[in-house]
Amino acid sequence: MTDTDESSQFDEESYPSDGSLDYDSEDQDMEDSQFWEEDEEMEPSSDNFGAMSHSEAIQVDHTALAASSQRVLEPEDLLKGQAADVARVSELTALEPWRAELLLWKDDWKVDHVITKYLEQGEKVLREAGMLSDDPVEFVISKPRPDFMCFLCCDEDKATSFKLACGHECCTECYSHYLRGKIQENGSLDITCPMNCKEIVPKPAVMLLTDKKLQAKYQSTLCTRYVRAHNDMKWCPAPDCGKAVKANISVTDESVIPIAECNCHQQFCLACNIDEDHLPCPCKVAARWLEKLRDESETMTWMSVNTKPCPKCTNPIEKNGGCNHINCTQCGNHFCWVCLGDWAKHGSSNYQCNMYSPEQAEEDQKSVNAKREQLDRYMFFYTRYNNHRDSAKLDEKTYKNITKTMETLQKEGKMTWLESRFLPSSFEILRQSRQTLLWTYAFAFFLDAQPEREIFLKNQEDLELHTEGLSELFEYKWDRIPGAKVNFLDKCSYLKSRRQKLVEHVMKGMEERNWKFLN
Amino acid sequence: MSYQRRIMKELERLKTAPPNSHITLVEANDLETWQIDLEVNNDNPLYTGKTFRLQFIIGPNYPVESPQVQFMPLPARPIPIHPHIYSNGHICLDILGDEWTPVQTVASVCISLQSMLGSNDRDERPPDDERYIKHAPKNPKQTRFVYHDDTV
Repeated sequence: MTDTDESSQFDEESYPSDGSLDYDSEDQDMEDSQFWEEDEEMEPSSDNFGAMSHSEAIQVDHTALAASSQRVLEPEDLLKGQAADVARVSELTALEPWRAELLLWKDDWKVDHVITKYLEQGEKVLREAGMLSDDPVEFVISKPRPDFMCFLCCDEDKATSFKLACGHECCTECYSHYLRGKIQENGSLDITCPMNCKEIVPKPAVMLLTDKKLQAKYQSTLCTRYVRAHNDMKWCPAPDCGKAVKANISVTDESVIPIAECNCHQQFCLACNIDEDHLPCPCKVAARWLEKLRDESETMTWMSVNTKPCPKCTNPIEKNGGCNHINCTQCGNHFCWVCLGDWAKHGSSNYQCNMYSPEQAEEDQKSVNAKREQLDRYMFFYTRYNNHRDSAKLDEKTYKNITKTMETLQKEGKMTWLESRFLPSSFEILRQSRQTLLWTYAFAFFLDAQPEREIFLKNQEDLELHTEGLSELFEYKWDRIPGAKVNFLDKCSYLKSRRQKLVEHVMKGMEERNWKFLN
Repeated sequence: MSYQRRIMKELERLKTAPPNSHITLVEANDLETWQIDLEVNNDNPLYTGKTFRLQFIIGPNYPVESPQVQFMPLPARPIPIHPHIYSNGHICLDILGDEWTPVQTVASVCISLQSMLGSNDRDERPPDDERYIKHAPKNPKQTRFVYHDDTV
């Protein structure tokens, strides 16, 4: 995802730009320190999100077993997180908050690292982060005075002006214009003084010189970097969602598949870039499978229709002329397109192309079979994987009908809306089961023969059988639904537990590093 | 608002009061592309009697960003031979790249180039000239020059 994409997810409203979250306001300072103390009591780590208001429910992902702890972060949570980091560094280094923020930005928000580095190396660190002077700075707009000339617009008219510690002063109009350009190009704490000296324009200065709309854009760019700097945080990939999700568990542990679910119901993996629930497939296996799909899908269909494998080396060959004498460029084999037999026999006395010889056919077939088998194996898994994808799409249609069915049931006096609430929740189970099933085929494709594999396949079979059973129930006409409610509920609770069993079985193997995969 | 007023001012000054008689504004039909004739203002035998054509393209972010400057080959306007000037007219000069600051002007760039030529005694192109012009981007600002030799 590019910068622009990410930032475009933000709108003005998501970013309070009136300074309410700015660390400059006194209230916020208090809130921050309070926030921080509370945090310290809870856990001594630098995690600022543990102490957020409890009223906002922590969404426990109900499909992903491993990622039972995650937190959806609204833009204001991200700003609060940054403010708390800034407050902490500022407190321990006795630096002004804006200086602390610059250091954090420069070193990817590694709080402890920043503090240690500053305490060890002192001012050198400030220079590197674009603070050329240690003198206390006040960010204020200077009143017009007669001796001033702006170096950008050469305007000598009396105008208000602004300068940073570097002393490069230009009129506020030019400064704002300059900042506008930089912010629109996704600049944040890398914007230097317009004079192109190395002094960075810090946040308070930007806030002073820009309008609300630009401030929002600026904040969102800062947040983008903040999220990117944390490997346990990720933007929700859904378009226009603009929220991020933070894992409260380690996402670098390979035996964990941290599937997150945003408040907008988008599911995605926090450890890899697959934007869906790929359980029970470990990230690496899932990535291998997707790569395989990309490599194979385009060529596969065309090849099966248009080519024959060379009988000697099994390389696929396309016939590009009328002549049936084929010369394989790979292995140099000369053969007949019609009978796939040796061409040497054609055009001599023992011409056999028109005669069927069962022995010959069998032998030819054998050599081809090995290669074909590999392809067939792939096709077997691919078809099933894809079939569940397709079914899932068709199920979406069913879902649209559910509301209609529920309305009809109510109108006909068969069932109240509340009583029919089991329909959408059953559908969710169906969707989840299919999602898991399709990835079981990717998993099984790479799975080497081993005793545990049989258990896995049994689990898969069972899950598939009952998923289809539930899917069938959704085909019922509305008047049969009330009578089938028990079936729905039974199937759902069974599926739920089977799905859990299957995933747990795989995860257990992951933890114990038992699974052997094909190369 | 843009920095138009500054550009107007520079243009006006270049027209009416150029820094020296060897810098002549030839054409600036729009405010974007300026043609300037340049001669050395000393008696360096390498360049005496020759006139060179400079083209300035003033981008929308000038003077925050540097202008695009290069020598243009025209009849009676050769590309000066200099270890920092490529045969396609591109100039390797730090103030046109990383070291640009908004206090520079079109006139000050001309003076810099004048002194760059005036002080040169090496009758040669950059060592990588042939390779560079083969792959050079149209806009010299897209080239990341390495300013390795400060002695010339």
